[in-house]
Amino acid sequence: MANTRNILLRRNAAANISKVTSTMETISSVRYRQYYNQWAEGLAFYDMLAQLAYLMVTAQSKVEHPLLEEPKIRSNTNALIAIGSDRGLCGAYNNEIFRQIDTHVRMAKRFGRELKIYAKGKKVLGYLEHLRIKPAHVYENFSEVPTAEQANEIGDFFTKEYLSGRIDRLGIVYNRFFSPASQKAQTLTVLPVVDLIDDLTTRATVIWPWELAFEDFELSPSAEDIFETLAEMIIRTSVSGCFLEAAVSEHLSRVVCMRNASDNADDMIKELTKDYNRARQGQITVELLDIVSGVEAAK
Amino acid sequence: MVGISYGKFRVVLLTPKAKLLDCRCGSVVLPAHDGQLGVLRNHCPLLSKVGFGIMQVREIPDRSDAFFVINGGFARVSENHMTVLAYDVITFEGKDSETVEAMVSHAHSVVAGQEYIRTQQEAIDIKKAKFIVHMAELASVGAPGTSG
Repeated sequence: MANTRNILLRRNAAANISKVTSTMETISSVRYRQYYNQWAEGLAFYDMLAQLAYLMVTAQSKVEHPLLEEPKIRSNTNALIAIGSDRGLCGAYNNEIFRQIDTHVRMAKRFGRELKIYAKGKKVLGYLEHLRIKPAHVYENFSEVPTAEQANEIGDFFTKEYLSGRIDRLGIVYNRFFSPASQKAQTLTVLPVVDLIDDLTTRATVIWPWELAFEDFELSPSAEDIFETLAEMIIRTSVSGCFLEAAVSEHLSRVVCMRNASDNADDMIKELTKDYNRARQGQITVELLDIVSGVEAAK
Repeated sequence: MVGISYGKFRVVLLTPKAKLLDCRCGSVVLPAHDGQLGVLRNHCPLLSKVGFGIMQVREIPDRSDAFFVINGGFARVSENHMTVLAYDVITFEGKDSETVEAMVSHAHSVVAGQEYIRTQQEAIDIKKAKFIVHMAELASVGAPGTSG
C-alpha cells in the first residue's frame, strides 16, 4: 500500500487540476453563451440573405455578372482559409481541422494545383509548420471573431483576387456549428459564389421555398447592380459567420472537455481520499500493534 | 386613408447582430438608394437597394412610431410583408433615456463641429450625426438644452 504522504500529494495534484479545469470550463461557457447568442441572433439575417440570393439566381431573366460565370481554371491556384484555435484543451477540435487541411494539400498535389493557405490560430500555424507549408497570410489582428470592418476587408480581398483571376476557388475550413449537440469540421466554398448560394440555401433554417411564390417583382436599381451588392454582402457575411461559428464550436468543445476533466479529477479525488483513509487506518493499526507488542515484551 | 392601401402590413428589420423590429405597421418610409421610398399595404413586390438615411415606421399598434438610421442593405416587399436587411443601424429603440440623451448630445456636438474624435468606436461622421439629430426630432427625444 502506498504511503499516506504519496497519496496526499497525488490528491492535492488532482485537486489543483480540478480547480484549473473548472475555471477554464467557466470561462469558456461564458464565452460560448456570448458567441452562441450572437450566432442565434444572426440566423434570421442569414436566412433572408439566402432567400434574396435564391431569388436572384433563379430569376427568369438571367443576371449577367462576372461572379455568376461558370467556374474556369485560370490561375491554377486555390485559396483556403483555415480557422483553428489559439489554445489547446478542446478535444478533437483542431485535429478535425488538420484532417481537412491534409485532404486539401493531398488533393492539390494530385491535381497539380497551387494551394494558398490563409491561417488563423496558433494550432493551425504549428501544424502547417509541421507540414513545412508556409501560410500565405496569418490573421493576427483579431483574437477570435473579426469586427465587421475586418471581415469586410477579408471578404473584399478574396473577391478582388477571384475577379482578377489570381485564384479559382476560395474555401474556408472551420468547425461548423449546427446546434449545441452537433458541430463538424468542413470546408465551405465561398467562391465561386454560386456554390456559396447553394450552401446558404440548404443551410437556411426555414424550409422557405414554400413561401416563395414565383411572382414578378420590381428591381431597383438593375438586377446586376443588386446582385453585385448582394454577392458582396453574402461573401462578407459568410466570412464573419465562419469565424463566429468556429469560435462557438471551440468554446463548446472546450466546455465539454473541461467538464469531463473536472468530473474525472473529482472521481480521482474521491478514490484517493478513500485510499488515504485506508492507508492511515492501516498505519494507526500497525502503530498500535507495535505499542501493544512492546508493552507485552516489557512485561 | 382610403382605397386598397388601407390597413396594416408586417415589417421586419434585420441586422447580422439582431432582429431590431418585427411588428405590424401602417406605413414605412425608407431611404432607398435613389431617394425616399414609401410603402403602404398592398405594395407591389419589390427588391430595392437601401441607401443612407432615416427609416420611419409609422402607425404601429399599441406603441409609438419607430425610427432607425440605416446605411446600406436591401429591402424586400412581398405579399404585405416587408423585410429590411441592413448592416449598419442606429436606433433609440430599447435604450434607456440617459443613453438616448447621451447619443443625441454627442450627435449635436459633432454637428456643431465641437467634437473631436476620441476613439475609433466613438467616432461618427457628420452625416450620421445629422441623421441622429433629425431622428431625435422625429421621435421627440433628447435634451433640448444640449443642442449645439
